[in-house]
Amino acid sequence: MSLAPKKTLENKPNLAPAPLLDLFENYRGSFQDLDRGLKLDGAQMRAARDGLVAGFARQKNPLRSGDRVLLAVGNGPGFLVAFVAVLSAGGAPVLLHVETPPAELDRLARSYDARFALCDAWSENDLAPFAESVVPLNFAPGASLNFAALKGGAATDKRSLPPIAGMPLHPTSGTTGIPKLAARHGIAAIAEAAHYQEAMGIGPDDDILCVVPMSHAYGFGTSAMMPLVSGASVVSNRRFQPHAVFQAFRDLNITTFPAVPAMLHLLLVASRGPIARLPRRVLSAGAPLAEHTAREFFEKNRQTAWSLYGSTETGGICVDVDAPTDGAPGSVGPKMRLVSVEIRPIPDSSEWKPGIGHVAVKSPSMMAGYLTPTGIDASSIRNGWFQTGDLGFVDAAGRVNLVGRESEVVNVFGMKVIPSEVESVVRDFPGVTDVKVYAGQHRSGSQIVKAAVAPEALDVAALREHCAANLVAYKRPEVIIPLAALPRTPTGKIIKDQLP
Amino acid sequence: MNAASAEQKLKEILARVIGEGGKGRVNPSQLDVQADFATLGVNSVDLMEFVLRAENEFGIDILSEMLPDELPTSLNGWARLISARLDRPAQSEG
Repeated sequence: MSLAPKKTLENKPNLAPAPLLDLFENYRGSFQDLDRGLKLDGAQMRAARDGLVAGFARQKNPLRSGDRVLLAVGNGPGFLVAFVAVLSAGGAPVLLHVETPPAELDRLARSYDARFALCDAWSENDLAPFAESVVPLNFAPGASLNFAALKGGAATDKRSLPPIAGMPLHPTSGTTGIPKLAARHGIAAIAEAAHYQEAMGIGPDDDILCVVPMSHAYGFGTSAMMPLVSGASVVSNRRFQPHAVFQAFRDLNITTFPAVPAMLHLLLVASRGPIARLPRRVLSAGAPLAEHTAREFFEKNRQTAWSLYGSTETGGICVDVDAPTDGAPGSVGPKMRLVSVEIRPIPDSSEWKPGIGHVAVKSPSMMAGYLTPTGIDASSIRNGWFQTGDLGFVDAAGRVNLVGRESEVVNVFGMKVIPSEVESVVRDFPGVTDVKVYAGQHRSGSQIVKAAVAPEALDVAALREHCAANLVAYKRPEVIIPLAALPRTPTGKIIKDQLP
Repeated sequence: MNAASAEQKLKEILARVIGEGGKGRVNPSQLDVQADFATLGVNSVDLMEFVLRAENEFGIDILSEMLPDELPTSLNGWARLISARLDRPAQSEG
């Protein structure tokens, strides 16, 4: 059994986390967790960070430089503190949704060769089947995270991925639909936040309400990094709940609200008139903002929602601060100042109108590359340019317009779901002989996960339970269609047009 | 309002939410009141919309008093909850 060559970034200062840690060291704002009633200012978060780092070192299996840590922590000061603590200890945090089930954490630990998990949604008993040890680490009065040494990450003697010190890692679908880890170093994260700050005019007097997951690239950029760069403060909920959002607007002088289209749709359902004390910046990202939602939002509030467009790999690309009031479908506004966008021709583009092509981006907020068994692979970035996988065009006014996507990735309210990952879980269910996971449409402009499975006489309720135990909620198929056989060509390829 | 008439209203709301959610047109009368919402393909956004529309329809507040995990997951569970909520003011006045 050969070991992958040890590669760390200690000799590559431009990829080291020091600039990001310096920002945290000087942060003067605050993070407030509305669910837990916990508010920490900069000094308190630094003390909390120190407590976690000391806790990592105290363990029988201490965190070592280069170790990956699955970070499944909910919105709030705990997220930022845990993230910075792992980086400070030389670890590489892998940012995961807070509700990622323990069985999925175990599977990801094996895939990502991660020795540890740091979570706040699961008890010691929940994690015990998958962990050698679970230790609660207090980071503030009455607030703790469970630090688990995972069997999955420790069990393998084949080190599939090399150690990597101080590097934030974001799971992504890439442009191909194959799960990858994007290595987004501190300078890239800071650049993205600085672009947002400049485009939106964010400063220390701003208060951001974060209800999108901070673990997701959008929430991370707008609600974890942008505050560090701008000095803005954050209040957060773990889950979106319209009445709680309205209350936060009324009571907390919120100036900035990053949302996804489905949230804006639900706020409109919940509000009978104009939304009281609506923040002056309401963002919509993750999926196209449906024209009817944009129009209704403006008609009720006399204010536009700003589309924000970005990708995990490139960071933020556009923020539509001059959004039209009638909601031009697919338009995400002009690129931000230091970002470059190019539209590249599609070979065999007969199905698209002239002018539509691959959206390519060059930006100081670009990732370093994907983490692979041989180190960071930057081959997808050519001369600084990255092809996002989106298809679109730039109109005469310089606005970027998106018309589709080239991969099969399912966009569930801004969270990207990789069909092959879900298919693998479904195939593990006893009796399943065939499966195809694909996208269905939701009225909000988002997509839903559908699964066609064979055979027809399958216990769908039990399959749902299996998915619930092994997949975080947004990855679970909402529509499961049992079929006698899946439509396939003679060569075995799925005939997509014939899927129900 | 009794549970049966609440159930009828809730069926109409759910059929609308499911239909507009991209899962095809649904006849309210064909919805199984015992069925778990998950088996009807109701996702978290659909459920939230269902609750918000039910709150508007019946003039009550549910989300501020219950956590998402505490919400009923079938139509007859919702019908019982709504009729109990509608009865609450009368009981307190009596």
